[in-house]
Amino acid sequence: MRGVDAGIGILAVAQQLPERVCRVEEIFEEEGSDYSPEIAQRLGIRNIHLCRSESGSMLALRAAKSALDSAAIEPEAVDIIVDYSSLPQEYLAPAWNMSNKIQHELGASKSFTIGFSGAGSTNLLVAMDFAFAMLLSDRDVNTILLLGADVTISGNHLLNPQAPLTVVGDGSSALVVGRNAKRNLIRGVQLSTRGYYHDICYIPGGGMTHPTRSDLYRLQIDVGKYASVPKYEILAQDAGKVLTDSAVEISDIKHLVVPNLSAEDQAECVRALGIRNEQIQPTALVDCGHVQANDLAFNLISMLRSEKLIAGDLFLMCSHGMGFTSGAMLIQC
Amino acid sequence: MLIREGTEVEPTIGILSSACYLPPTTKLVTEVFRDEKIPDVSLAANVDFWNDVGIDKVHLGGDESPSDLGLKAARQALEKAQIDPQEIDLIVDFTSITEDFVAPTWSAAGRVQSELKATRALAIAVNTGGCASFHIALKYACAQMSANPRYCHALLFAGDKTPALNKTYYPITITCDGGSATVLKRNHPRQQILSVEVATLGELHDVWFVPGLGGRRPDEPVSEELLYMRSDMDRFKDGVIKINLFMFRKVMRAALKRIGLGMQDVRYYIYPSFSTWDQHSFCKGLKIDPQTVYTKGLARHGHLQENDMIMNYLDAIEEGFIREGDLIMVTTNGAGFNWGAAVIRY
Repeated sequence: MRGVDAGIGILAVAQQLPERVCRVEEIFEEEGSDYSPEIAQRLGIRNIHLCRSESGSMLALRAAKSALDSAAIEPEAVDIIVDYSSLPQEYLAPAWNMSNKIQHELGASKSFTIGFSGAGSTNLLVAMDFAFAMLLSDRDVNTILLLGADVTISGNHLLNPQAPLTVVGDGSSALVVGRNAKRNLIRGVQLSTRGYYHDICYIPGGGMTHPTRSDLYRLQIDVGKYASVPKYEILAQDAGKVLTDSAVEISDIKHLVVPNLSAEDQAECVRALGIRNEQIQPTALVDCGHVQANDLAFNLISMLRSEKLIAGDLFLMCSHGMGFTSGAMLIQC
Repeated sequence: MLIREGTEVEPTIGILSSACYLPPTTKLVTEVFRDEKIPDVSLAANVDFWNDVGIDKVHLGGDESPSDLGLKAARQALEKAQIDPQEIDLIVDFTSITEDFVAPTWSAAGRVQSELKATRALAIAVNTGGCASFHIALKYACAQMSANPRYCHALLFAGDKTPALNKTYYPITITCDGGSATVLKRNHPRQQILSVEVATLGELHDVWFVPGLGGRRPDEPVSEELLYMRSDMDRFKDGVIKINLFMFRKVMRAALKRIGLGMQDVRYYIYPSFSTWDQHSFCKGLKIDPQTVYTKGLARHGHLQENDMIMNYLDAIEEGFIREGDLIMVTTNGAGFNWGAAVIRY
């Protein structure tokens, strides 16, 4: 209850999607993969948004401004900027990071920047976990801006084109976390990693191992190894821990926010946690596809807009992602 | 950040052990200059890079990957700490240049967790700070260990390797491949981390950068040069150099002020191994006695990116420059642009 006692919560959340919308059938055709009704049902994705000339940082700047406006917080009041992007940025991380550019363009002159690598869809929860710890441990820190922007490598929207696991879109999101929140109070965060699976989903070319292999400069997944990860059991364990720490039962949870990997994956998450499918609806899956860790922000926005929860209701944000990193965050609406 | 303020419990966080790994192969700086065709001309600031850099040789990673270098340092740090990897609760990768695979999609944290069999740990990677990424990692780890009693031991590591013909970061330094690691312990009474401060000046975000395949210009061929560190020299001179000492003073004073101390209380400084001219500038500009700044490693190995902090801290202890009870200021700048200051009571 420490986070609730301190009033630590989500003050605002915003999203920014590129204007261009592309139907999933077109993506399959462009990337040479067969599309069928069975695949359509398994994925549950109809459209994705694609950048034309927008950069990730352009989207992130707009999302950050929108979130700060919504929270009625001036950029000068931001203490920390946290980047939870997962895909390659304008220049190569970690030598360069988008958050520094955003700090300048926002005029958030007081803030320092931090970004996290390697957690994929769970990177937002990694960022939230850090923000929560900073607000609990340092009374000089009051306002933290979290942001992510992911722009897919050209021609790399289908993850595993032979039997696509998801369709990856472009987009950005931002959250403001701080004290004195009236709603969306953070009750706890639980994260876990299984490093053995660090190379299940990654971009092999362009790093120090294969510096000139542009043919390997693609997000790729080891399907066999991915299938062997007990991801839903781990997710359930993380959710169980965060619930136990807060003396809450899964039956007390009104809503679940999960990533937009596919309809099939969302159904597995629902099954693993023992809740009903309608408890994850609405999501941005159909119209945005999978936009890495931004999924959780998009789906949080969808939930808040639906006004299905009332003050005091509890909800979970859960994710499994690269790394292999899994996490669950308990929030009180 | 004052670690012990604002928490329900007030844990002290101390350094249990630290270690560095340097690969055995070395290269003379004269050979680096020859191979990389570094011009033998004076800089605008009347600095002769060839003569004033102050580095004799650097170590080369060869067939070892960046994560191999970090992993070896991590193993050494755990051995020195005499703890089982399964006791580690947090693993933080603070590597600041190009890793084995493309970031932020991948980090070495998972691989190191797997190789060490540190099954209990949460393994994450920070990807900001440049050479101040050690301070970012300290900030992360100290916040987590202060806020969460379940985090008792944290392993921080980095492994950095530059392309074979991109050792020179002209006109600042010559880089050395290597790794470093440190183990932090909650409620540890020695080598206490009292305060960590980081400042970012984002307008200088692209003074130093690595383009990578994603940052390739349309007319640019695919080559290893895409992993070379690039710099905007005009903005470095007009932007970074003009404000550098002001920012160092700002973060150091802020870190000290939070614990009720001042610059007069600092007994010894750990500073990066960039170059002789840079070390002189730091001491002269901030009126710091050069005898209180560790500079002896520079000639032996050059600049190890953010690993300089741990390498120089270890060497200063080993060579008797730091004594029990001394207040140590560990400070650096880094691409981004960032400045970091950490205060340690040895």
